[in-house]
Amino acid sequence: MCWFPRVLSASAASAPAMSRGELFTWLACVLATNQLFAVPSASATAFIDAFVTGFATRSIFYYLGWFAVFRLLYEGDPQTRPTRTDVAFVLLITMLNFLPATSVSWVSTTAFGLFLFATRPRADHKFQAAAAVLLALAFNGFWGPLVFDFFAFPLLRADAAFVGGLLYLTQPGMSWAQTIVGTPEGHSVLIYGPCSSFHNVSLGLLCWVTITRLARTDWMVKDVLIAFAVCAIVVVLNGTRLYLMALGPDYFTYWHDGFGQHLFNWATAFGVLFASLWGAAYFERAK
Amino acid sequence: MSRTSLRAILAVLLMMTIATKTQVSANLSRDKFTGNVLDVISAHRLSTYPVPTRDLLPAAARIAAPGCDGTIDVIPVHINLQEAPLFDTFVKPNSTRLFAFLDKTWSSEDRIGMRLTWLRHRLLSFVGLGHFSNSTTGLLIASPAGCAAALAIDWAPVWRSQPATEDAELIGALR
Repeated sequence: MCWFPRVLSASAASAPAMSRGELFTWLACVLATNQLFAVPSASATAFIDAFVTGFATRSIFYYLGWFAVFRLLYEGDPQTRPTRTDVAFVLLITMLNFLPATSVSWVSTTAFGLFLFATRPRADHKFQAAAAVLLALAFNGFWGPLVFDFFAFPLLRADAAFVGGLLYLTQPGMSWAQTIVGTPEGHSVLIYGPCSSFHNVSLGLLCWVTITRLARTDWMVKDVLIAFAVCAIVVVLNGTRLYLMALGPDYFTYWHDGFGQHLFNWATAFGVLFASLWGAAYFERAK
Repeated sequence: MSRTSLRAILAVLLMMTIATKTQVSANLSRDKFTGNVLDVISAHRLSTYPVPTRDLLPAAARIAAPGCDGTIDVIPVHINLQEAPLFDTFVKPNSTRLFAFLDKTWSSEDRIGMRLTWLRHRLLSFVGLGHFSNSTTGLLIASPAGCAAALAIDWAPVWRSQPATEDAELIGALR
């Protein structure tokens, strides 16, 4: 009867140790699934509805970001073994995700990215690239909205000043006051938080970081130019949409609730995707 | 630790963390929020008037309070007060404005104060000690000049995690 434990321990001892990449892939699984499943709901059926809705409404760049993280971790050096610190960190972050708050997985994603950066001397470049994408995901999903929430009104006023300035220069009688653009007596538009350029800027930057890190793992100074181009595309397109909405009630209906809304979303997505792909390909050739 | 046992531990932990996330409490819906506001008002034995329907800055309740020269409007607003440019248009002139969010009230627009209150309770809920629902909707209470009825109301039950009716019943029992 004593042979069974001995066989178990012998097979355990002979089994190859888990690679660092696989260990971190497990942690990425925990974080990604916790973000996908953290959907507020009152009942089981409501949970399924909320999960499907949440899954469908997330941006394609969010899924692209997680795909990049898994791919970069998979492509890491398979010979590198995790240290005790790595295992302790992964278990600690996983245990932290037992807390019920939805923000835990986002804070954990940030900690994961920072940990990969902090272990730079031992890590290969693939892990560094995965860290950059993790931080971009956390910025888009958690820190960006948090920063926006604190400075929402000044940021909305900046949007209004940009659009109102364009209206003032091109349309007689139109101007802006605080976060309202249009004509004082006629049609005017109040800019709410979801209409701000800031939201799409963080999504555009996530796309840029993901595409760039998938193309190559080392940063170049010129990458910053592409980041500025992505931000400019988002701000100009969003400003144009707000400008058109302020022109009249029909324009507002088309660009806010009608086909124009989809047109704007697709134009923004293709714009930032094209700029990111062009930047990755161009600077790769120029190296 | 062998690869197999570590995989097993991580797989079990993964499933268990997902199970905890399916228990995340729902955000306050607009209807539920309005219902909570009405519960708080009825707990203070104040009567309400029909609320005029409008797309911009709709009120959750219109209260008739004794000793007040007019009605009190209770209007849901985002805590970043992005609706502020509309206040002068839709809130009665010469009215006294009170802002309420969670367990605090402000006598003037205080975006930072409201956001810090939100952050404090988010941090508490992060470690499982939160007492309020996850919400970024506050209240603007516009009272006629000289009317102090709104000041006497504790608005915190509107956001309390437990049903507002339980708080309302408690207040009613204490009276």
